Amino acid sequence: MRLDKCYFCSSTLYPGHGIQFVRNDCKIFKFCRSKCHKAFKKKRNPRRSRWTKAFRKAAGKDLAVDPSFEFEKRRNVPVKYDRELWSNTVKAMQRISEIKTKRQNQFILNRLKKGKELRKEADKREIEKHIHLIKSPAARSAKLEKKMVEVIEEDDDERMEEEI
Amino acid sequence: MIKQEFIKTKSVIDKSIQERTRIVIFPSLQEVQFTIHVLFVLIYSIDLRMGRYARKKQHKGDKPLKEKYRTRRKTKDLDEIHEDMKPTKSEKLLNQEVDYDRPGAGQFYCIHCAKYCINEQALKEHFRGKPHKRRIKALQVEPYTQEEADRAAGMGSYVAPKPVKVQTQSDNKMEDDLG
Repeated sequence: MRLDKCYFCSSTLYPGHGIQFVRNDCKIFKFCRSKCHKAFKKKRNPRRSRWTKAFRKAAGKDLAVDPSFEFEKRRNVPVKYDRELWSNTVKAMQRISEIKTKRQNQFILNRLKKGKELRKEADKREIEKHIHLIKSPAARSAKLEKKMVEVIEEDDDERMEEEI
Repeated sequence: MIKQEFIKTKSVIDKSIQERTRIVIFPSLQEVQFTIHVLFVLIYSIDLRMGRYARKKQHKGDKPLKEKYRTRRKTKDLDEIHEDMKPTKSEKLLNQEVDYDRPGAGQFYCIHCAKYCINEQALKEHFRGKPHKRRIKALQVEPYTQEEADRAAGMGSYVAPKPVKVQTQSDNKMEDDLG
C-alpha cells in the first residue's frame, strides 16, 4: 500500500479518502478531499492559494530546504521483510520527525524575529517624530542652552588654567 | 382540648410549608417533563425552517457554474499549454489543416490561450486584449507538477519554479509569413 500526496494541498491520501482524476492525456491527479478537487476544477494555482503547502514553501513561510527532508522519498525498490530493519526504521522515523518539527518551529520563530525588530525601529522613529507631544520644545531648548553654558564655562576654566 | 388542636394545626402548617419549600427547590417530575418538551419544540421549530422548499433553493442559480466546471467542458490546463509551446508541437498547431468544424477553419489559433479565432483581425485583437496578456503572464513560470506537491509535502527539499520566457506567437507567425 502506498500513501500518495494530494496534488493540490500536498497532504497525505489515506486509503478510502479522496478522489482521482485522469486527464485525457493519461495524467493522474489525486486529491485528498472535495475542497482540493473543486479548486483544481476551478483552475486555481496551488502556489497562490494561501492554505496549501506549496504556497507556504514558495513564499518562505515554512522551512523549505533542509537535509531532514531527504529521508522520506519514493524509492521504487522492493525490500525483503526483515524484522530488525523494520524496527530500526520505525525508531529512525520517530527521531527524524522529532528533529524535523523542531527545525520547522525554529524556522518560524526566526522568521518572526525580523518583524519584532522592525516594529521596534518603527516605534523609535515614531517617538522621535512626535517627541513634542511628550516634552515641550521650549523646555528642551532651555535645557540645551544650560548645557551649552556649562560647556562654555568649562572651556573658559581650561583656558584660564592654560594661560596660568 | 384547645392545646391539642393547636398542636394539630401547627403540624399541618409545618407540613404544608415543607412541601412548598420542596417544590421551590426540587421541581416535580411533571415540571421537568414540561420544560424538556418546550426545549424540544424550540429545537424542532429551528429545524423545520430548513424545510423541503428551502432545501430545493440551495442550488438556485449555480447551473452556469456547474456546467462550466464539467469535465466535458474542460479547457486546457497550464501545463498542457507548456507542452504545446514546444517547437515541434507548436508548429503543428499553428499550421493546421483546413477544418470547417472549427472556428475560422482552424487557421487562426492562439497557442497560449488554446483558442481559435475566426479571422486574422480577430486574432490580432485577441493578442491586444487583457485575457491574452494575463495568460502570457501566468505562463511565465514553470508549471506546477505532482513532483512539486511531493516536495512541498516534505519528500525532498523544495525547489522554487524557474521563470520561462514566453512571447506572443504573432512574431513567430509573421516570421513564418516572411520566410
